[in-house]
Amino acid sequence: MTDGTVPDLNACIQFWRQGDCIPGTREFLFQFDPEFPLTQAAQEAATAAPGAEFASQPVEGLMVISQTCDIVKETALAPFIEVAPLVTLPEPAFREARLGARPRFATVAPLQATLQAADLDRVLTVEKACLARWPRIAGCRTDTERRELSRLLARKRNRSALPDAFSPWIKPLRNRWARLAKLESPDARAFDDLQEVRVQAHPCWDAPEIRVFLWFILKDEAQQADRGQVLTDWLAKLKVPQPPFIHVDGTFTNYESMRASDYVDSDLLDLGYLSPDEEADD
Amino acid sequence: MTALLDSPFQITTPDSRIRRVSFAPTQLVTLGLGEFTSASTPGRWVLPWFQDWTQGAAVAMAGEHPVAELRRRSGLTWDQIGEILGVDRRTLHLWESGRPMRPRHQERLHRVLQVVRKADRGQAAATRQVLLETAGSGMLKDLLAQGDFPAAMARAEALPAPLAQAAPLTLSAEVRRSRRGRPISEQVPLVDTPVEIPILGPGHPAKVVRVGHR
Repeated sequence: MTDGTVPDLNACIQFWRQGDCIPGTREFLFQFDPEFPLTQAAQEAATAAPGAEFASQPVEGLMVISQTCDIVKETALAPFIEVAPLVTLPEPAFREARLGARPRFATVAPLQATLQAADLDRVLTVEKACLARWPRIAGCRTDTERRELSRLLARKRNRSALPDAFSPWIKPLRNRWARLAKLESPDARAFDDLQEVRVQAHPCWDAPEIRVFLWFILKDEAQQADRGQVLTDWLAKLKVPQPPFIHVDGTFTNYESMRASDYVDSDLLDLGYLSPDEEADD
Repeated sequence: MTALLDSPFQITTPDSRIRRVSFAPTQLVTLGLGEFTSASTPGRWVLPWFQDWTQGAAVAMAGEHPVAELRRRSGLTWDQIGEILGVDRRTLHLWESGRPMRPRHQERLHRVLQVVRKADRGQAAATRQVLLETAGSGMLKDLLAQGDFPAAMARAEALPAPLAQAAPLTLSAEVRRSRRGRPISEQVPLVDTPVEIPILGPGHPAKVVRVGHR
């Protein structure tokens, strides 16, 4: 590469994967409005060159966030990839990012020691030829790590598919769950045993009148128990009719028992988007 | 009846004889229809999932509730299954949530399941079609709802053999866990407080060369 020979770019990019990092100071380019520079970097660029529309700022490194299948695609078919700048976070914020509580950031195992994460609010498009020259740190080494990164990246782009009215409606149940931490009761045990909750609408979320069904999906290792009373209590927290919700029902189940069609037809109840009320009535 | 069990159990048979059975973890045992009391779990509960292996039916998935199995195999709605079992849908939800069933309901469910396993076409939609098809003595579903199990079983046995189904593969336990994601009790609310990010150096204007259409 440095001796002036033309590299086989398609061969060079075959090693790159989503989540791989480029260490060392890199330049991050972005456009701004010279009349209204919003960030300090844009203001500095505007001051240095009045009328400039593009600013560059040094960053700690980059993370490749394009999907691997797009990265390794022939350069003639897909010449660009997306990268996000690496930033160092305070320890609490880094921990929250790792748990998915800060969708702005995504991190991978090799960055844990330095508390670095990709800032997904800022994305830069670069031509793949750059990868051939850049040093590479493998981001994900196992299928589990790849899935975790995928989850973090998806969290930035995905938003709950549930209607606005759903969040306040489900809040009494969310508040109930929030109070169960460290309690010893059938209620608390059932909550501890939950792997995920999915909600299904009939006929659909856009309808003026919606019947709601909740799938309380248990962990694989959850013990068999009579959760009938817990089910009744939890569903009683949800007031119906409360337009557009006219009816609510639900059941405890597990992945072995749930039909694929029911899983696909339902939406994940993401507690991240539902914070408990401090003064909730319960 | 066969059950997949992981600890010693006390078994109450229909004639009220109580037997205590010990066996190795996840050992398969074949028993008569009855109720189970877990020796390791406080309280008495009916072990609801069982499988009559002697009928030569397909193997029930571990941990699958018989109501769930009925729904999975039959492709019927909650209401249709409720009609067959003579209960409302809420009762089905409670059963699937672990609420013990009365012996008569358990027996009825067992008999319905035997017929549905026999009528299983390998795909829920096809099985549902068989159950809802009107033949000489009415729908197979209606025979089940009427409790005419001999006639229902005769109808199911007269069906042509379904196409062989490939056995599904199973992931390793570790990978399985990782694919499940974080359990709901470990999920955290989104945090949107600002984060101070160190700046490495000043921004500067970038050189731009315009190409293409003006």
